[in-house]
Amino acid sequence: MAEVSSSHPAVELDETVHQRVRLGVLAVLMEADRANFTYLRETLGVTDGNLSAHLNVLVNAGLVQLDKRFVEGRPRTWVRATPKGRSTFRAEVDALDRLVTRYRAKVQA
Amino acid sequence: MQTSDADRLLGVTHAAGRRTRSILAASSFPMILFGVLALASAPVAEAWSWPAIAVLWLVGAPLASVATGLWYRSRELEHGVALNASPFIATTVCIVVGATALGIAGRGGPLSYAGPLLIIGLGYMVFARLERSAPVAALAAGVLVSAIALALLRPPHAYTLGVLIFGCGSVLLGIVSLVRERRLGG
Repeated sequence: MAEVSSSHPAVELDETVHQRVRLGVLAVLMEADRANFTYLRETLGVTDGNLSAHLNVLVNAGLVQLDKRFVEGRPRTWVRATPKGRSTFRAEVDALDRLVTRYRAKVQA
Repeated sequence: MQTSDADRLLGVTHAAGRRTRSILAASSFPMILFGVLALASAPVAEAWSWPAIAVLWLVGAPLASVATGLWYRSRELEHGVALNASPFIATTVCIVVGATALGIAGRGGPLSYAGPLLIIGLGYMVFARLERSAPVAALAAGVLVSAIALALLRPPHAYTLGVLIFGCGSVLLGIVSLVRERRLGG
């Protein structure tokens, strides 16, 4: 990365959520109260193992919580965003938006 | 990082959010059910008096609310994604209790037809806010305006006019939602 001043939006990017699948999980959970593992896998187009790995990262960072229940005799994993997860997502999208806006302004100048 | 990466990441993020919002915006079942219930109360009002309407709503509204809850629960299990039900349940209880209480307290006067419509309009405004739905907000605004107009003008067959406005609007919105739900595959 080139010179990064303290006011540059790239500084505010969060390394935990700055990843397509993890940001996608939080994007879904910003709209919904909860989503199950299957829904997240299909929406984000990833494999079971890949999604599990990313969910573990989010759980360890305190951004989502898992709730495992049996529904009609089958185990289902439901995922919810924590308040920290919601605020981290908003900050990340805001930083990305500002980064893109800044770049476009430079290109047009 | 490359700015084009940021752009792509934002695109993927917004797409995931949009898909989820579309699935959660389903409201065909309650819209059609409560619309039909309202429309069914019109001939009751014309043929009998306000106690018959009160009985219809006292029995019909709780049953329709339970059926709506079961419908949302089945969608949650089918799609694997759900909203927080608590604010919806609280709003439904307020509408059913408030509208029924005003309907009975009004004893056939303006309060008995304008009051419940006002409560329904306010309740649907809350639903529109929770679902971020412009069509539901438009229906709520239409119902509120109708309630105020009926209270001021007191036309003949005011109750029937009110439920026809709400019922037709609700059924129409429900059909539009149903078409959209079918397109989304559920």
